[in-house]
Amino acid sequence: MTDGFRKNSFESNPGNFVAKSDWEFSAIYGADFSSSGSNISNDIFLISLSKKMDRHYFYFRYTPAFKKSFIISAGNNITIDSSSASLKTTINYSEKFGLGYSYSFGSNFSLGFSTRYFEEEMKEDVFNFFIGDTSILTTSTSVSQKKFWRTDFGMNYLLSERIRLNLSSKNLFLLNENGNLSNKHFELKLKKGIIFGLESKLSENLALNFNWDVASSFLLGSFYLFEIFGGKVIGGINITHDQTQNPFINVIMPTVSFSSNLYSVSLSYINYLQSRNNRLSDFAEKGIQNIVSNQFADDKLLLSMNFALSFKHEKAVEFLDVEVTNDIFPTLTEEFVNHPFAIGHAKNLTDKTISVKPISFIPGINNEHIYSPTVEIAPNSIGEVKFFTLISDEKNYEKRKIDNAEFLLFTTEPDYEDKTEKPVLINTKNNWDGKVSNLRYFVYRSFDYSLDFATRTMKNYSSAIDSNVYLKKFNSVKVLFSEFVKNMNYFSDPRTSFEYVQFPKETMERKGGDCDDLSVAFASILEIAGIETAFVDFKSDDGISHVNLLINTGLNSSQAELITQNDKKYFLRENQNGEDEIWIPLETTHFVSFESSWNLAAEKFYREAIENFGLQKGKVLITDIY
Amino acid sequence: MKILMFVLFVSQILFAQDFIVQKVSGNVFVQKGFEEKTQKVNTGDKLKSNDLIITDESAFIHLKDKNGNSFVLKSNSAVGVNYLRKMSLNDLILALTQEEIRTVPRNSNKTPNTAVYGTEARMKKPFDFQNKLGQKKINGAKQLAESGFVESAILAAKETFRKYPATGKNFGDRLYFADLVKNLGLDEESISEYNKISKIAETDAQKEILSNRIEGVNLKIIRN
Repeated sequence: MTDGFRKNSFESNPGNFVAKSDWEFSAIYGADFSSSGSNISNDIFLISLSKKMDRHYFYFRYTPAFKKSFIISAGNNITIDSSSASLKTTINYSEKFGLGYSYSFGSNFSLGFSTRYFEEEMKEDVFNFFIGDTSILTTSTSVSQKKFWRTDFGMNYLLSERIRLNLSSKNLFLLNENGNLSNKHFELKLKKGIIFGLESKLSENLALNFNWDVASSFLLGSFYLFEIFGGKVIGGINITHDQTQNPFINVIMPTVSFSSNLYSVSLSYINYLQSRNNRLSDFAEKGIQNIVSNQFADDKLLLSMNFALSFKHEKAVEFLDVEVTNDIFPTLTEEFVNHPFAIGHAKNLTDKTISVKPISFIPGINNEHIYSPTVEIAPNSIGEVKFFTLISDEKNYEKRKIDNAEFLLFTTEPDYEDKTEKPVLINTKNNWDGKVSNLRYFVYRSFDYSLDFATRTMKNYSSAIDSNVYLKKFNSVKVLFSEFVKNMNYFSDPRTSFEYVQFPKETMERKGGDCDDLSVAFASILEIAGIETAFVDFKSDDGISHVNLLINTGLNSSQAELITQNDKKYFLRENQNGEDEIWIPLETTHFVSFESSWNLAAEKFYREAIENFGLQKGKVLITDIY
Repeated sequence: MKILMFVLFVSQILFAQDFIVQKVSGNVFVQKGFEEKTQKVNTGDKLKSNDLIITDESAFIHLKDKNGNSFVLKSNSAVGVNYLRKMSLNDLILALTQEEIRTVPRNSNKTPNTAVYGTEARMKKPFDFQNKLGQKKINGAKQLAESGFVESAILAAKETFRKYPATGKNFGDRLYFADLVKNLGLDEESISEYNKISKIAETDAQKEILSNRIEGVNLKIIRN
């Protein structure tokens, strides 16, 4: 949890877990300090290469300096005649190389194994005594070897954003290639066991790790990290307890490292607290369990380097799905700014909270990629991403078509993290989604035409409009309506398969339309003339709705008598100042006269909205146009 | 069976009966449906639910529906035929809620087109017809209550107070109908009414009456 690079140690990571990186090369160069301090040997401890492929991770390491030798001398020389000889036994332990594989079942759980190849060799000197004229004493060496594979399994589980648990075997499978050493007493003591691990990120800067080899040892480490120069500096210390060594805490290992996305460098010093006095009698008695760390190992200085060989960015977030929830209706522009046309689910593949920028592009309606609001997704969690869009007015929306929408997820990287495509239906400019509240978008179209109509009509009838200072709005509605319905015809929706709404100009030029078209067109004229209007949506159980208008006369409730003596013909609505204003219903599909259209609409509104509680029951909806 | 009874019940509420005029004394008028003008009512006339009956001074009208239910509208009163029905308490609550919907301020930030209309002037001149009709409607609503149509009376009064603002300034009338709301056990609605009336309360006595009413309802709510 403190380093993006792999832990180059099967010793503490038998499950071969890796957080990220594609190709990775690692090397550890070390210096061995003998106990007397007079002898320093340098060597390459480890070279490794790893590759991550989707959920699979492969690892190979070569460990030339994972070795330990013991030489046991028999004692004094034996001299016969002129021949003298001495006996010694040399025991070499080495770990040659190792292989690892792991599979990630998700961002929380991975399972893997490691297998390592060991060699043990025992060379025993024996006397050869020839009796002749001259007795000759010589020695020869008897060699025995043991070559074996050691395989262990491990699993890693991310319990939470801050806690990771590890569980692995120790010496689970041991496969001998040949025989044993001539003296089995000196073979590596390979007891089977279990290792528990816990990594905890205590805060943004402080981490703790604990590995417990149930049979014999534990390691406890604490690290402090901070970001600098685009990377992380990590400083910390490990302490180790090993039953085979003294004192209780027998190793202290300070570490400092720097890691970036491309490389990491770390320097560690392994300091054994008890002097290394090479008591061979102990070795002969107890043997060793571990080639690298044992009671005879010397202090070490280790320089580790990891390099990401591939510069491929590790995907931080991926799509789980994207659903196009709304077809595109080019005229309903703001709807797609306020409501998503597609909703997806994205998974954060990292163990950090990330900000995900959803971006979409629909060639048929967009001039450029459209950024939707950023979404924060918790580590290893799934978040909902919503895609909004802007509809360009430079495109052609004369024919319905299906377009391929591109959906992208970005984080802080310059390139996208994940991408998917989905088909989207783009309707024509005259198509409507059937929601009366969205008819207002059609009202705003061809405003110039409506302005011209309103200005011309009101100029022609200015004397009638100005006849009463209080009734300017009401009189304007009357003359505009009378002019609007001249030669107007009603005809139902020409396209039965989909809702079709004409722009106001189209309705006026074609001299007709259905209730949607006529209400939209007349509302457009009134709105441009500064008269507030609202659509009244009368819903019916058979699914056939009707739309007409409510119009604000600007009169207050005390002035009702100026326009009517029948209080069922108007409806009071409170304005922003808390004052009631008189709104009148108007049927735009009735072309006989203003009065009859008003009466007709008033009767319908009174019956369905007021008497039958249509407003309360949702059967009658009033949608303001503004 | 329950469903059938419910349907019948609802139907009776939604479709008020037509009434036949049994007797007319003095000047009694009817405003038919959505017409502007009124016409005199004669014995034997049929009145529909959208009609409004208006009586002048010293006049009255006796109505009866086909089920034998009768109603007498006294002098100087007005009532819509659609209110001559027994509403359920639930319907009254629904209607009161609908009234709240109508009073929700619209979220409009549009600037009026002053270039065309100039600054809107407010009418100061009182309208005789409107004021008289408003008061007649309040009188009619009181008679509805006295005849047992309490829920209809409350609804008619609320509508009138709003559409005829001059009537809403009469403390006694407002208190009368607010008390009806309270007596129906609609505690929150009645407190809301009393609070609205407090805006027109002028004398200390009126304010004390309202204060006592509100306290009484609050005590009842706490005890329950």
